[in-house]
Amino acid sequence: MTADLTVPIVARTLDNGLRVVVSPTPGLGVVAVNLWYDVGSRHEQSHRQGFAHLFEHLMFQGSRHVKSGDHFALLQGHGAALNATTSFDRTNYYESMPAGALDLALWLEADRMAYLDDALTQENFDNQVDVVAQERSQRMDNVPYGTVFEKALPLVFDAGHPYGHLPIGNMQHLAEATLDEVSSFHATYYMPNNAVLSIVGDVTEMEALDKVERYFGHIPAGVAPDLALPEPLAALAEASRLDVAEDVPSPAIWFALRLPADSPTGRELSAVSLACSIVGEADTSRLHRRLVRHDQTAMSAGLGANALIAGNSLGVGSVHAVPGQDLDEIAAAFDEVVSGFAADGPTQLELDVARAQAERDWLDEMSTAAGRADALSSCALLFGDAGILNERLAMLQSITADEVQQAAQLWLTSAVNAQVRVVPSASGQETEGAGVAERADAAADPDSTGAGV
Amino acid sequence: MTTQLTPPVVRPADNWKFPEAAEDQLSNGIRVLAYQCPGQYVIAASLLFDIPLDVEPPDKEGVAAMAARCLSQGAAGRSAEEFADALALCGADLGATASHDAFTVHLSTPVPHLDKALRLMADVVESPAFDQQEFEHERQLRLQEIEQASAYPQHVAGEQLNAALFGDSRAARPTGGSAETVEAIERDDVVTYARDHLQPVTATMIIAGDFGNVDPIAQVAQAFEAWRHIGRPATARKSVEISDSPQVVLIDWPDSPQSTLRVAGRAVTRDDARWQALFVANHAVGGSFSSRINTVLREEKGVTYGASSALETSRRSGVLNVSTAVRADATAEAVADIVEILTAATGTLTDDEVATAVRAATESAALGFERAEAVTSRVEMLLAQGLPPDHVDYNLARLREVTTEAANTAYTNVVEADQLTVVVVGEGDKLREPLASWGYATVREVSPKQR
Repeated sequence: MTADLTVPIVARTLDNGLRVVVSPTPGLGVVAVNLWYDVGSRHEQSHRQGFAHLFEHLMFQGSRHVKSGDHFALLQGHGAALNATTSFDRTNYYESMPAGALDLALWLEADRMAYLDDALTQENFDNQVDVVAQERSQRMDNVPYGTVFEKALPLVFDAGHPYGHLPIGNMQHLAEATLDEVSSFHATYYMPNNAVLSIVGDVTEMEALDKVERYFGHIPAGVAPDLALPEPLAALAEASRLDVAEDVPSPAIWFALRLPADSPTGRELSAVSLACSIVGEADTSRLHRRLVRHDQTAMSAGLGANALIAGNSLGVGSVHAVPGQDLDEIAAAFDEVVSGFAADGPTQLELDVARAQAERDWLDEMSTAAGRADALSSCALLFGDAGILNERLAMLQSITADEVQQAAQLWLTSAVNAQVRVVPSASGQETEGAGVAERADAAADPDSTGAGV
Repeated sequence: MTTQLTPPVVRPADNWKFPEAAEDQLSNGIRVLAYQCPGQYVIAASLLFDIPLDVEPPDKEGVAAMAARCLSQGAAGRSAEEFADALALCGADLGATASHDAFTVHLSTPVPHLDKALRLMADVVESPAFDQQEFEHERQLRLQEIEQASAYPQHVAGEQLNAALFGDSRAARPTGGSAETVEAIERDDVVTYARDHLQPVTATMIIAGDFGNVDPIAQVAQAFEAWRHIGRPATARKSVEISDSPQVVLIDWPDSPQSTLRVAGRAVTRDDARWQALFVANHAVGGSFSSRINTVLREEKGVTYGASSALETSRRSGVLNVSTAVRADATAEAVADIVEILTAATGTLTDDEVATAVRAATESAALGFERAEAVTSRVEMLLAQGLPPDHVDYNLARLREVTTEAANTAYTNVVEADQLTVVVVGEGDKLREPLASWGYATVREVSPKQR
């Protein structure tokens, strides 16, 4: 690569504990603001599943100096693209805009960090409970296979585990929640010393830091929540399976896997990710070639890793069977592919392909100010060091065939242990299998486990 | 340090300009447009063939889409798997699509592998294998895909809207063909399609990214210059009819917790003089988060996760399309609300709404074209719709001039709120009566094909 791909990074911490990361790209014309708060669905109380995401919606309903709806209206009216997402580990608020609107964005973010309470109303609260219920319907309940992954999670993480439920959560829990809980959630998690603010794009380091001090400097620090991370769990040793009949066009299997947590070096999870990529990503993968091309028993087959930090990460596999094909045989073939890979390790060609794909993904992620800001916030919040971003690609490229094979042996050979099998119901009526508490959620794409505004 | 009580002043965005094209024509007729985009190390390239879907034999609709699928399943002596490996080693993606206006091959690749990846792209148009077995497998996958898609309410709503809106035009039927027409397609049909229609004289290569010291036009020439092929002359494009009578179409979806809705009607093509004013009007009515439609359905009534309208165009058609999914028991009220908002917008767009929409549409340009792929997609869309590649700057200049009066006039002239097509995918037993009582049009029930 001829170009220098190092992302320039300036990191500061304000007196109130707000961690700030600035990465100037002179002449871009665009600037991205990205806030990661250290709160996600894993911090929720067990009877309030989905609350972090509902709360994220309420952050758009106004604050002391901002009218309800104005956050979107003001920024979009100046050409900004903005949204927020809630995931297992964190809540992310972001906007990209013409450089001249940076002050506006920072002011809006600071106002809702400091003074959300003043604008909370029962009416807005009830409205967003309704909106979130419709979000769930649209993404999950009214979509074939939409709730299968939600059903697979409890097979690898028990109910008390931070990753035992999806961020979209339980609509009944949300219906029972109160406005007071919103205030208290804000007081507990929304404070400068529980967040990272990244600013990337057409702004100088000095300007950016001055503006951050101006808009965020006066917000008092709070008592940051101190939540210990759970102990890592080994790969699932026993088989656990749930069979459901639903209104779907063809049979399918979802697999859930415990994987190693992401970490500052990220080496072990990266080895697992490369293994997943070789086994289950795109049409060069072993699963695709076996199940879709050779056996022709599946329309699609894949395996991917979702990086998380609380003890474990989460792996997701899925196969959409060709109608009429036998799921036992498909699961056996899936197992054979994964076990075969663990036994033999990657070929040189496979390793080269996985590295090329990883490099390309990294370049894609870095190709926008918003992408760089998000990656910087992630490294700073999850690992305490934004600078890790600049080490990640080289680290990934240095992972050896042996490491990939070991990762597969440790973490992927149990891939078929947790399965949800879904078959078309004769009547078109949904029937729940044993052990499923609620109607559930998202697709097999590991990235789709989050929920947005 | 004190808190600021009012929003900070926003410095107006600089007059952003679309990147300038370096243009050339290869000796075989391929037009090349290259855009230098600093910092974009994943190069995007689109090879666009100016060929409409109208050329497909009527009993074999979907042959263009099948050609698109099969194109990268082996070429120039490489098997499908060898070809996939070669591409993946470059970190590249290659695929093709057939739209109503054009057939396009897309490539994206990190810049260090550009020469190799362009060679592979040339291989698929110059000497695609179209292996019989690969063809059979792709056709099977395509048929399964059609069956799968029919279980997704969003997909069904889109297909049924097209069927109701576009009369007997090709646009009324699925771009990729139906199960019946795909069944009828043979390998030879795909070979014939590619031979007749994929030829250098009708092709434009659009390429964008940070090329560094590399000369993109020379790279394209090196890969494609030797390609000599003469197919059939271009065919005239057929016109597209768009319904102008009110219609309500109901697709029964038992036990659905939500109804999926489309409300659409005739608008204008991008070359119409009213386009920019209508674009601004649409932004205020349904084209943004703070629009009238989303404000009522989401922020006031809470019956949806989101509702928006878009101006959808092809070279010969322009449609205003409102799409949303709403809580099942709020369905009839929601469609009535949408039609009511579209009706009430006539002549009522305010100075504030219009100024905001103009700013939003123009100041978002730098952001919208930050990625190389955004640049190539836009040029591709413009050429496919018969517009020049420098249309972006022209369009932005025209958008800046849109006044409240112009936006109101365009909206009033174009949007006929009493001639809309409404499509509802939801639980028939609960919706027949309320939709009939609404009285917009006779409720026509269409049975979903494969449920």
